Amino acid sequence: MDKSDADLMLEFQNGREEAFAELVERHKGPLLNFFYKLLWDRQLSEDCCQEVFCRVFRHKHSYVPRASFAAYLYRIGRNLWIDRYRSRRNTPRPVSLDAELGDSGHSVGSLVAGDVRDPAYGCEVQDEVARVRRALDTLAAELRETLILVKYQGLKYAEAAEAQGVPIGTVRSRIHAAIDQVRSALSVGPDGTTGDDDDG
Amino acid sequence: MMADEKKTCEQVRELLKDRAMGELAPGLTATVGKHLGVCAECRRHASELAATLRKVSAIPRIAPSEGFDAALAARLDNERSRERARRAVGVALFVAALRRVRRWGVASVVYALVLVSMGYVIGSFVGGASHDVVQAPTSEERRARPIVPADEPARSSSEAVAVIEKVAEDELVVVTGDPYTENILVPDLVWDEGQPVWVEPVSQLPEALEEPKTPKELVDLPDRPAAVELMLPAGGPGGPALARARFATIKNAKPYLRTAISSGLVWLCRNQTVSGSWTGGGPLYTDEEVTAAATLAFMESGFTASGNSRSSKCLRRGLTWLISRQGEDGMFGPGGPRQLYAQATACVAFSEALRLCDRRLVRERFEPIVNRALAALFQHQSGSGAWGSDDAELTALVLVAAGSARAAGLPVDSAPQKSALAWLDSYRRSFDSGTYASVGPGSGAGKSVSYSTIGAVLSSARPAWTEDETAAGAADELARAPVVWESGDFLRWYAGTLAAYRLNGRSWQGWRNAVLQHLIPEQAGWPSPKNNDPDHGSWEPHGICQDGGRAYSTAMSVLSLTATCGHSPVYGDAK
Repeated sequence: MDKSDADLMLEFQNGREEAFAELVERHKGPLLNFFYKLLWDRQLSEDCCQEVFCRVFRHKHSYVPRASFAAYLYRIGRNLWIDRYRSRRNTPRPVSLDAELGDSGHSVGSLVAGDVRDPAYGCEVQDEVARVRRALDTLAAELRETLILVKYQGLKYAEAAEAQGVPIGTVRSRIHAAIDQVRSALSVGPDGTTGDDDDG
Repeated sequence: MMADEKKTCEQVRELLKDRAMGELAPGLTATVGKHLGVCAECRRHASELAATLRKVSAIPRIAPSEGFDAALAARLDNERSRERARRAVGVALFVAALRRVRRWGVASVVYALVLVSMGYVIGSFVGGASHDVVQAPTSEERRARPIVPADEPARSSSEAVAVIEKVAEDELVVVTGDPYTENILVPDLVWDEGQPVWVEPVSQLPEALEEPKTPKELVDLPDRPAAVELMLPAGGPGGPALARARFATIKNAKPYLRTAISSGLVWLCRNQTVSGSWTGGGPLYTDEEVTAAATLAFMESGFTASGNSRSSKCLRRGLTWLISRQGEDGMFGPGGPRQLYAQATACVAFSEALRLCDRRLVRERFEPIVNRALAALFQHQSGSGAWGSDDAELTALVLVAAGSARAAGLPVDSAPQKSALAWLDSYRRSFDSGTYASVGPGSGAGKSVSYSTIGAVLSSARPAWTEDETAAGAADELARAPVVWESGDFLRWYAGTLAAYRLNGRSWQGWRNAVLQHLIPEQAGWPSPKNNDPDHGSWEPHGICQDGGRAYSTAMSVLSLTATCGHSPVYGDAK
């Protein structure tokens, strides 16, 4: 049976670095996607993801297994995001290399890197995905990060509350507000059609 | 009754959101289900909610890139060395404290604990420095010692460079962020639709370079391998092989030169904004001009936008930002007194990006950018043939831009170039022989006759320059505006180095040495950086390029140093 994250972290605190490697393997994908949905930039997301693991490595003895490891990890990640990006309100939003280029079906980054076969880029240019991204971008930062943590990262309300340092009730109300706003932005009908679809 | 029903529906719709997130309390599941069984409106609402969440789930997940694990491993190695440094200093101070305990008694235990705490703090600083620096910096006295003593103005430039080399041998601190020690070279020639784009036989490319294990090995690296001299013909697309050769040239350059370039690039990496641009220091220089110069600095140093290194990523982000700044009319960024300078510099940058990449999709993307940029630039040519208000500096820069586009394999209209050359020639003749001067009050110190020479040399189709009368005359004119640090004329130093290299005769060695003599000792942190110095690797903006800010002066200085290695956006790199 697989060891729990908390067990692995305790082993790492006792000096077994293989346990840390296993934690990285388990969480690098989800954590990368957490940052990606906040930044829409693969390179920045990878940089942030690595920095979070470095911080866990550096402050390994500060971990106390009273909450889930995922909550601990995303709390560090959220703080990093706030430090680097969210708090820089006057800084222009990053021009993403992953942003699509007109009707080309490719991103600048993928073109420049010759990386056009990446299926993620292919999916991104679909209209629906672009609309969802725009809808997420319209959310206030708190709502967006809560929705990402719960909906995409699969955290429980309690874990998201721990990660964000807020009461569970706040997480619940944020989720409700975020869903309302996204639904309004997407204008979804009961059969899944949208206002845009109707126009067409 | 109606009001109660309404309230129940509202409550159920809120609960539906919790249910969709898997957070509905078990006791409420049946209640919600029962309500949905009797309320058509809430069922419709539940369907809408499910459809919304299906759409939201459509965002694809991305996977870590191939280099993710290696990059993380490198960063964790840094963490380990910082941890070791903290422990080492802490232990050393603890031992010292124990000795005092034995000598002074138990009462000094408190003192010992204080010392241990201090050790940890100091160790943190040492550990932090180890992130950037392999060996500890030398003493303040040694660092403060002038490289070229001020009381020896008569020293020739070659002697001054010899002093720099000697100091580097004794004191140079190697930076671990050095992009030339990372395993980042674009490894393979790229084939386009089954045809090799690059014609250079692989056997003529530089050998794979062993990473030096010690500072001694670094010093012992050959100055310039013979293979590099077999490189490119003048002009024409270069592809990854060109970048590879540039990388090898600088990697194998003298340690002081290589360290200066790599430190400059590291500084540029660290000071790129979140958006991908580099910012200027004053109102004259736009971010577009500074960013174009910075991206060019990476490319002339051997990095391509398709690599996986940190430098390549910075370059990609910079080019991406620049793309977003090109308007429908082909112009980059807002108008202003230096807009055409920014335009020409961006044109050179994208031409270089084009030349260094042979991927068809990239060419299709970049070619229109350069074509539109150049066309817009040509539209601003005045009736006299010059650009700006008879600006020799700008006119020469536009000729460099046209030359770089041609070197990238693009067809360039020759008419604007011919009229510009004719104007530069008449401009040069308007000065008395032997005169080097600004045009007049308020016209700017950069408008020098030497620019007419730079423009003429860099636009020339002569296959080779030898020590003939024309070359000698051009060299003399170039030499009338020598490299002097105080002028802060970073752009002309770069353009002059390109021209001097092209002239290739007696002017080359003197100009090259002058550039090295004035730039290397002025780099922040030379030869031994202070701990955590944010300016380390950069050059102080001053003189007429003051407004360009530190990013511009650093980018242009790096460019000048790469030009001393023979790298050029206009011509083939090597003789």
